[in-house]
Amino acid sequence: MKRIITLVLIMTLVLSVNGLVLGQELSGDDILDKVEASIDAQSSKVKLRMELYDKSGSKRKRKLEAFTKDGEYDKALIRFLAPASVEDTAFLSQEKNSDDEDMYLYMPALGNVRKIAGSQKNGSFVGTDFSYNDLSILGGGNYKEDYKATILKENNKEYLLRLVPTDEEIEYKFVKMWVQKSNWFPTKLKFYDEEGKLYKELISEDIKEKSGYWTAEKMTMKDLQADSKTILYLDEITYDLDLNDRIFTVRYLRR
Amino acid sequence: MQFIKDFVHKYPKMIIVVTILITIFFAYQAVDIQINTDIKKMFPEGDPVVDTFDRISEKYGGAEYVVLMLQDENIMDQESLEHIAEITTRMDKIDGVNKARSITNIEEIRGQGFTVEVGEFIKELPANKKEAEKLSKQILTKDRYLGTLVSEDLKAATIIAQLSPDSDQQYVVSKVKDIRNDVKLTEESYLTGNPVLTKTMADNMKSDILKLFPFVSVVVMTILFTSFRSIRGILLPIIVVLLSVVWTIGFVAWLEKTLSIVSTVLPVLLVSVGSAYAIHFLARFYEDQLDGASKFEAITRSILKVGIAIIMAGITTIAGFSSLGLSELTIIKDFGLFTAFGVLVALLMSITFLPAVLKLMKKPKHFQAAEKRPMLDGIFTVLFKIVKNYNGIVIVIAIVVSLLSLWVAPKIQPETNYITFFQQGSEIRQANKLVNSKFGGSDSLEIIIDTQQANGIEDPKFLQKVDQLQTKLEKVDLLSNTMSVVDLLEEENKALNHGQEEYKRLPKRGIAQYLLLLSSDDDDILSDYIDFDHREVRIRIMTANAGSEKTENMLAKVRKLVNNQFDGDKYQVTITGIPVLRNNLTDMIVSSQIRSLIASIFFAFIITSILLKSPLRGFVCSFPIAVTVLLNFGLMGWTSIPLNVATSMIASIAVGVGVDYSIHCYTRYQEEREEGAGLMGSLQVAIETIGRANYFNATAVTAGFLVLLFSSFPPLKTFGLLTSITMVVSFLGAMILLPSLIISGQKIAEILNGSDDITLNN
Repeated sequence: MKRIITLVLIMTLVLSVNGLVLGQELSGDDILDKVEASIDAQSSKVKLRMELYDKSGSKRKRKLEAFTKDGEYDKALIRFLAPASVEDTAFLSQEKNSDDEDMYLYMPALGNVRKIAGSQKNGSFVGTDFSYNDLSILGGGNYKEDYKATILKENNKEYLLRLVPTDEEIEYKFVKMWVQKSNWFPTKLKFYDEEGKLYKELISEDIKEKSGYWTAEKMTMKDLQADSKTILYLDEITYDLDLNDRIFTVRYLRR
Repeated sequence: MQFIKDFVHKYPKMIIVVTILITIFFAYQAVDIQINTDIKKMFPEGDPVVDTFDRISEKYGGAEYVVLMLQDENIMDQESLEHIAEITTRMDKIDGVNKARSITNIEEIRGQGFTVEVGEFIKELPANKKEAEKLSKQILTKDRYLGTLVSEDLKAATIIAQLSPDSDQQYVVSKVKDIRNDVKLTEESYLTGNPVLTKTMADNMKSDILKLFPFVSVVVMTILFTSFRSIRGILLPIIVVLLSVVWTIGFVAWLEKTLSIVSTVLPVLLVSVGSAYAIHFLARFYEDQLDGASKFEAITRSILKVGIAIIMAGITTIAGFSSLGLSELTIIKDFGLFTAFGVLVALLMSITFLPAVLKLMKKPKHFQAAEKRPMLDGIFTVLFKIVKNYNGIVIVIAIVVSLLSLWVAPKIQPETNYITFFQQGSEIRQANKLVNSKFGGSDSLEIIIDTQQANGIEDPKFLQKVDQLQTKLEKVDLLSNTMSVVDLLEEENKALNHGQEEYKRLPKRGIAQYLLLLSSDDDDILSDYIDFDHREVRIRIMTANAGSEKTENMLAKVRKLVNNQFDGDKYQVTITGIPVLRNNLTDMIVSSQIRSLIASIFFAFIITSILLKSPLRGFVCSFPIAVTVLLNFGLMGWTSIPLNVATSMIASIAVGVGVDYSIHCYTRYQEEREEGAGLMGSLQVAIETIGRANYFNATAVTAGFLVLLFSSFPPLKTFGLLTSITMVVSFLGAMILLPSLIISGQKIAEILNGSDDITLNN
């Protein structure tokens, strides 16, 4: 459900051009369908840079590569490329069934693979401003499983949706999502905490078409309460590769 | 004086109206007066010690804690855990609380078999007795919580709220109290921590002021009644001082300043000190009328003759209080300057407003203030006899007392521990005792070690040094339960190695990877202990609340240990926390005391020298008060009364107020001499007339300060008692020592002149 796979899908937030349907009265859930239906890349390989900023503006940089594959089970692998101190540290996520996922961690320093208990969906993903849940919502593929959508507003260019979690493990009261009509791409999301206070904001920029999928090359997640932010830059992306299932095994983690 | 006299005679109504209008303005301001008891507000603005404290607090989410402690036969049973859980959740939501921690929400780094997880130690509260017992056993192995969140005997637990640096502490504390009341605890509960002390102090202050101010007014009015035996003799001085209190409080509020713990004394002080001017004025007013002067003449003469003495006395008092303005401690500085303002107001009103009112009133029917009083007259006859016959002995006694006092003065201990501001047996004291004994304290010492390079802390050798330092720190008296990223890494290493105890040590390599894993946590435990750039580590050490001397010794040891472990330019070490602030305050109190003491005696000498146009006369008037001040320190030394924010003000108050008695006595003596009376005759008149006004004033002031014995702050009680004693002594100093000095001075002068014609009896 809240699969790590979706981490990769944020970066590859895509929408097939043929997903456009015009001239119909759409409900909020219909729009979610459009967003979801448009993400149909079967696999991806991504290289990205991550910049973390704290409230004083200090910066930490990381480089990662990630592989995703949809299939009977959705799978994702994320490996750190830099800095050297965390190079080759890797996470593997395997969805077992719709309610469960396994996360594995490989730490070169330990030389061993450990299973991570998946109970921290609302926690930070490796110190970033993204939680595992954010990755999930952004993945798009699972909106309808976790959220119920209503249309708050619409104009010629975009819809404003209000998403209310149906999954009680998601610690947001609701999420506001702005979806472009031209390509069903969500450009901005605002996350509200359990008390209804604005908590985080995600903005997608440099939205380009790559291999027929719409992709944001820069995504900024701001934690407005902690005054920190994380920026993701997509350096390389390849869709629909023929990825070997072996990549997504515990053995491959410690390559 | 001539101008004031003419003005009072011409425009009495205008003076009264203007006074009332200004009073209304200040009364309006006074309504908004704020009370502040924050330790940081005692420091001068921009003090580096406070800046460091704020900077570190800001970076690590706050260095002040509100601690709620629960005590029960078994604190790990279902019911208590439920209470703890509920309080924790509710406390966490209070505005201004950065984080609330307790055993029910503390995170642990778990490793079971093949998995690793950072999660709450208690995932679900125990559903039955058996589960609770199992949990108790588990806790005993968790030394990160044991002694901090749960006591080792499992009879007490804490819920610790970390306050954001910008929080409204008083608000948070009152909210925590609300929650405690709501939950209907079956356990004993205690609230402590610096913000609680601060808030309780502010509450006590408010009730103190509300209680003591009317009390002191009544006491002073009673004294005034015994002095003047007339309604106007009671009402006029009390109105003068009440108005000056209103003006002063209004002035403080108008400047957007706040009242502090020592300002509680302000109304009490103004009522007792400020009444002096009106007393002297009225005493003379009655005396002259009894001598046959008309009301008009009596007003004129009172202004012209006593007005000068009142102004002189007022100036020295104002100088005495202003000398507190030299203090580094903001609260004492503000207090000194505000009181000086209040005294100035009382002084001005006594020579303008008071005669203006008298002018409009009918001539009094009785002049009892000046009439025969067998007992009073008897006292002054005795005093005069002492002066006449034993003046040499008086001086010798004064010198001996001074020397003995000088001898013990260095033994006086400075004390800034807030806890001494609370009564023995009060809830705060009990809570403090309990938190010290079961949890090693509620304040923390913060040590920040900066490696001066990004990712510098990822070096295992550095972390080993941190670990060693922690071990050494825990052996220092007052310190316990150190906590740093090292503890987290050890716990993580254990978790990553199937929970085997032997892995509860620092990883030898790959610290960055360990930290990366820990950063994937909901609560972000890492950010409490390291900075974003991985440049510096923070070590938190719980510190027991103790006296200033112990704290000072502890800090010296900590500095030495830290310097030994992290010497050289490679590291930059910062040590801060509430104990450090308190310690700095102690140093300030001592240096301030010395500075304001020297300044006040110096001012008194200079001012009296200028006013009396002779340094010798200045010395004669200042000497009795110097003896009084020394005796005060002697008393503190002999009875082990510590030097704190309250007692450190006594010297300046004694000088400011006490020198008045000498001035009044001396000016009257001089007046008589100028009118042709002999030395002894002049002294006799001075003692018997001014003695009476001085006596009225001294009893009012002394009784006023004795009212502080009913304060809820032990240091203010001591302050009240000591100041009262000082007032009596300075009264006697002016009435006995001063005349004795005059006589001896005369004798010496005559011996020097080679004259053996002793003219003392002229």
